[in-house]
Amino acid sequence: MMDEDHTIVWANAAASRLFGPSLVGAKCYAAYHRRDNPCESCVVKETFSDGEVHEHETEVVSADGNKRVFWCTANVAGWHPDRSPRLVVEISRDITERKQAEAALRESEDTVRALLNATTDTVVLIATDGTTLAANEALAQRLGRTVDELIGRCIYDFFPPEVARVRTAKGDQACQTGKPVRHVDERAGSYWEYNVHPLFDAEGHVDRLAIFARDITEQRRAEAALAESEARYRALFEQAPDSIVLVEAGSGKAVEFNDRAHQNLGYTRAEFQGLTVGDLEAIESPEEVVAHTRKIIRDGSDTFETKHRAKTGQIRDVLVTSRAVSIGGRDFALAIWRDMTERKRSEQAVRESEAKYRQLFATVSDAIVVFDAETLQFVDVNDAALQLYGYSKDEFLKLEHPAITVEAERSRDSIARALAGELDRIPLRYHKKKGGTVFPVEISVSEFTLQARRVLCGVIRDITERKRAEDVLRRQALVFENMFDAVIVTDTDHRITEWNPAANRIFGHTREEVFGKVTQILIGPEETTDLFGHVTEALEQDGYWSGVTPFGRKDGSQGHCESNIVVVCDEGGQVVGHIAVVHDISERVRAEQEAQRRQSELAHVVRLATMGEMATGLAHELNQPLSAILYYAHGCRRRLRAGSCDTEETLSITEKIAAQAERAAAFLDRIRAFVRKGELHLAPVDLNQVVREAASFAAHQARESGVSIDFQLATTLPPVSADMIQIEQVVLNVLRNGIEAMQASDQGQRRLTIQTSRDGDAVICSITDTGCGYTDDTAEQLFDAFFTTKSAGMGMGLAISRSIITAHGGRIWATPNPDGGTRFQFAIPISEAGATA
Amino acid sequence: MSDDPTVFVVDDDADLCEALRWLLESDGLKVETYTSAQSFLKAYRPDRPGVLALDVRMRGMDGLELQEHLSAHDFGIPVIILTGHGDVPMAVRALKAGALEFLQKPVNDQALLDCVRKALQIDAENRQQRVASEVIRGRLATLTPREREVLGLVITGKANKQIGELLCVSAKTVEVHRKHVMKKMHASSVVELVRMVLSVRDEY
Repeated sequence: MMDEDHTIVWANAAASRLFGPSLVGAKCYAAYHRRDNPCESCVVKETFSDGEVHEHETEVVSADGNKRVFWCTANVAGWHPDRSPRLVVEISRDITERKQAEAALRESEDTVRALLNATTDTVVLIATDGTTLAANEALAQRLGRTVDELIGRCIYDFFPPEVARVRTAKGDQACQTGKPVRHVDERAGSYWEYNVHPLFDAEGHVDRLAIFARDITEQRRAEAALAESEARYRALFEQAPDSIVLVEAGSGKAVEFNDRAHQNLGYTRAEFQGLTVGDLEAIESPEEVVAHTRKIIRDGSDTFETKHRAKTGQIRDVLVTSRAVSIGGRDFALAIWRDMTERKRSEQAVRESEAKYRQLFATVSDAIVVFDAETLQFVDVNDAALQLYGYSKDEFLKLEHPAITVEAERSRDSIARALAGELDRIPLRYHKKKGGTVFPVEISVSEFTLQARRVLCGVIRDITERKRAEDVLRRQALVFENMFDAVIVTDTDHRITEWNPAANRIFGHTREEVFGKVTQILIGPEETTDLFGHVTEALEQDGYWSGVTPFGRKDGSQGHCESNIVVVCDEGGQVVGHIAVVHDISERVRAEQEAQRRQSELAHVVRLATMGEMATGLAHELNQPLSAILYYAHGCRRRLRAGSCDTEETLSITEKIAAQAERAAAFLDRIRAFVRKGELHLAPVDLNQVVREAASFAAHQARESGVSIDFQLATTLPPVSADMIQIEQVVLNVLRNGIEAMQASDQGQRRLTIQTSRDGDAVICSITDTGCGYTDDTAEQLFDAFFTTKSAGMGMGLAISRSIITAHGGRIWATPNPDGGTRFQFAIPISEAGATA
Repeated sequence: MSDDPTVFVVDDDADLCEALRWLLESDGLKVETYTSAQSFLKAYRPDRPGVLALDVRMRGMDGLELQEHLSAHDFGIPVIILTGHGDVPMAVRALKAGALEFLQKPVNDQALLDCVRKALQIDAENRQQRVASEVIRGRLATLTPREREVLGLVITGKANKQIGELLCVSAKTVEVHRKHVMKKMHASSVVELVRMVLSVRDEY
């Protein structure tokens, strides 16, 4: 009994026995539960609060420390005047023993149930009439009921009629025979195995049946799978690409082997059966084979390479995987032989190929870099790459791709495109070396997988030189295109392959019109093939030709060009064609021809003037033979009249008359020729003859001036290529100048010396007078037009002389004569015909 | 050396020389040809009668120079100038130097022959004259100085008396000298004496 504060005010002897003698005065919760405050479910507290009776089961700790279970009932034992509980009595019954017995029973039942339920087999206990006595969860679940629903009902009612009938028959069979019945039935794809066990009563009659049903579908399936698997393995065994041999450890005989094993070595099954491993082994001796087999048995397994000898004697490489197996207490070695001959060969090929590629990789002049497509880190680089970029291999392999490019964005784009298979070549990219030097490269890209990584391989070529060459080429092409002169490139057969715009302009043909045509078509129709032949011959001999030639335009007109043609050779010195640079000099030639024409005209005018000035002397020159003729004629007439004619004598005189007439005629011819108007006509000319003829014109003047002409002519003189009349004009001019210079002077001796000589490739004519000479003042003006020291002179003589000599490719000059007077000299190149003389 | 009159042809044109020779010989003349003044001078002697047919324009010494040379050395040979293209100053110079004719080539044969003939005649006359003068000069050389003085005064037409007064001698003395002069000079009369003296006058 306890008050409102749960203080025990009274306890019976049983309580004191249980919880100790000093129970009164203690708090109930401290006494029962050894707690400091009341329990949540304290029945005492509840009774105090509502005055009703409360009960519950609780566990308490007894004075001896044992846990015990009590059934506690709390009831009001005394009231306050206000009818609220003052005291509550708690009666506690020790139910510990009962609880333990109940728990033991429950545990037993649970064990059976758990056993029944633990199995996936359905278990049912029925009476002989089919009434269900017990069933497990598996059955209930299978039938879609609870266990309770099944108890007391005929089990067969839960099966389809067909099944029920079979089951009933089986049950009856068990009852009648008293022996277990086993059968399997199939339902909806599932296999069930039934075991019906009869249970006997005290009298030995069957009174109940225990039926176990098991779903053996899975088992069945596993069995089928096993069979299939076995078949498969058998097939595998037979069809395996490898030879599989079961070798008896002791004898080394092949007791079991697949077809592959004997076929591989060229034996029939029968032949192979009698062989031992030692018979096949090509490396190990039979003793070694035995030892090796023992070792395999001891160690459990071994994998090794060896060689087998086929029936034909051919040696085959094999990889042997061997495992010790024990079958029926006997040791065997299960050996799987893989024929490695082909693989070895292909491996060898791969190795060789790899070595080749490795060597290529190492030795190619192009830099090769391999880098990871994702991290961009270099995986491998060759020596050329190291050399090109200036890194050591270690340094290089720590770099990532952006370290070598200066066009990061474009490189990134290229890598992406290469990975997408859209790019295999980058014609121009700028990369940088270790030192920062930027240079142009050409890159070939390929992508492949290396050790499961996607990598990019770049073959990088330094195109600095090529680019420079390309730049030069581009510039040259620009020059080619924009050159003022025509540039014509031909092949070895002189067929045109290149033709620049200037050529188009000069010749009037477009590139398409002349492409593939022989350059001969460009030579004007006036020219025969001789020129073309001459040029081609010179090119073959000298590799070079230059000269001035005529050419024909598309419109048929003619022009002149100055051509330089060179033979073009390839690196090996093989002639591959020609390049002609053609400068159109048509205008210049026209101007030159015009100038020449004018010069000729002027020379002609001057000659006429000269003849005018010399008319008196020339007349005298003619007068001489005419006078002679007259005298002869008169003399003859007189003799004839006088009859004193001597026939012989007269005959000789008539011959003299004729000679004089011819002399006059010849002189007239010379004059006519001299004053003839004509174009410059070059021909091989004997300068001595020119000098004599010119002197003949001046003879009279010389005589009148008391000038003696002294000829000192070279005995043999090569001809010069000249216009005879014009050179004669020059000589005459100089002679007359000399004569007139001496006329003006008072010096006693008046002599004009004419010399001719050869000087190298030229012939020199030198005319020396003993006249007044020239002063330094006049020296420079001597050859100027309209410059004259003479009162009656026109001043054209030396000027025209100089232009004539210049036109002949020669020169004319004056020097003082050491003996007083002047020496005029002119030189004219020897004609080609004369040069060889 | 024949003393037949000769035509000396000097022309540097040998052909022309030959032709002239042919013409002149047709008239029976004796001809020598020279192709230069120098060769002529070398061969010519003054006592040879004849005529010089000379070309003006020649190398070396020309025709006029030769003419002047001959004149200076008192070679009395007549000169005919033959020229292809004579001009007036040349003709004047030639004639002044004593050229007989100045002919332009080609010369008409008759004119040339006439001219040559005339020249030869003159030469002959000149030569005769020169011979007479030499005689007179020889006679004059025999005169004493007094006789020469007297002669000089006689030929001016002075009388003996006047001469005596001039010379401060008597007329009689003058008369003696006069007779000596007349005798020495082979003069038959004063007139003749005067003519003689005049013919050599230029030598005084």
